[in-house]
Amino acid sequence: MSQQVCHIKWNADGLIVDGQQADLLPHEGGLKELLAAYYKSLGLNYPKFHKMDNLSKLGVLGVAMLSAQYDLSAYADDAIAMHFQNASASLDTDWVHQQNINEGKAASPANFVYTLPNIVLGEIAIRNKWYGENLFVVADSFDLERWMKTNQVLFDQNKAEAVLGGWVEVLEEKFELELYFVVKQ
Amino acid sequence: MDLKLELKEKLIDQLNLEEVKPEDIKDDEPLFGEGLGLDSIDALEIIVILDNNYNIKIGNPEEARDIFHSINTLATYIEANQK
Repeated sequence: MSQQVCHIKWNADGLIVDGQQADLLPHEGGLKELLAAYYKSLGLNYPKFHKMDNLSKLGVLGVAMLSAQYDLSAYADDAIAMHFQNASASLDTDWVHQQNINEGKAASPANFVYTLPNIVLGEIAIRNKWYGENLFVVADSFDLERWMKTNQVLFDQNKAEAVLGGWVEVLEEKFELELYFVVKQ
Repeated sequence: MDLKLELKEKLIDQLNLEEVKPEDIKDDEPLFGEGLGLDSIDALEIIVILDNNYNIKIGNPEEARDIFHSINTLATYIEANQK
């Protein structure tokens, strides 16, 4: 059994943290600028953030928001597993990489390293110094029931005390984050 | 434009050093490690900057260690090797 202790939903319509809805922060420009506005708003001091692709930025910011709501530091560094899903994998970044190649330019190594969707898990793990289990699944849509069933396997096998994850999707300027933190009962 | 200033602006832009301004980068300061804090991916990106902007190819990775030490060493190498 598990218990949901925190839920964040964030998309173009707004941000909902544990049922409390807020408008998006004002920003000039597109998704990159919106994510930068939240980076500043959260008071993060993590220059590597600016090197990330939008998918990783979205995941890192979501976890930072969740950390502000719920004390994750109470867990051992390998006790929190991460389990995320999305539909577009890293296509948002893959396109940029392909465009560089098509234009005959040398491909950017800094862009290339984000051409895998599970890099977002690595970025979250590095920032939080977590060493737990992690899983990234590409699916048509977010199936909460299936997500919870997979988490239960982790709990049953004593692989994790809690699971953080859900849906993290970015494609061009569209984004959607649905983040859950569930703990083993 | 002064080559050193141009290099600083290209590094800031291409390496997404959004919290750094050109005047924050000293000409003789190490770019990696304790200085600007660049990492191995940044080193690869600098190789691409040199190729795309100055038509310079770094063939020997060992050579890059000295060339990429600072803005001064980068500028000196570009002036000597730009085609």
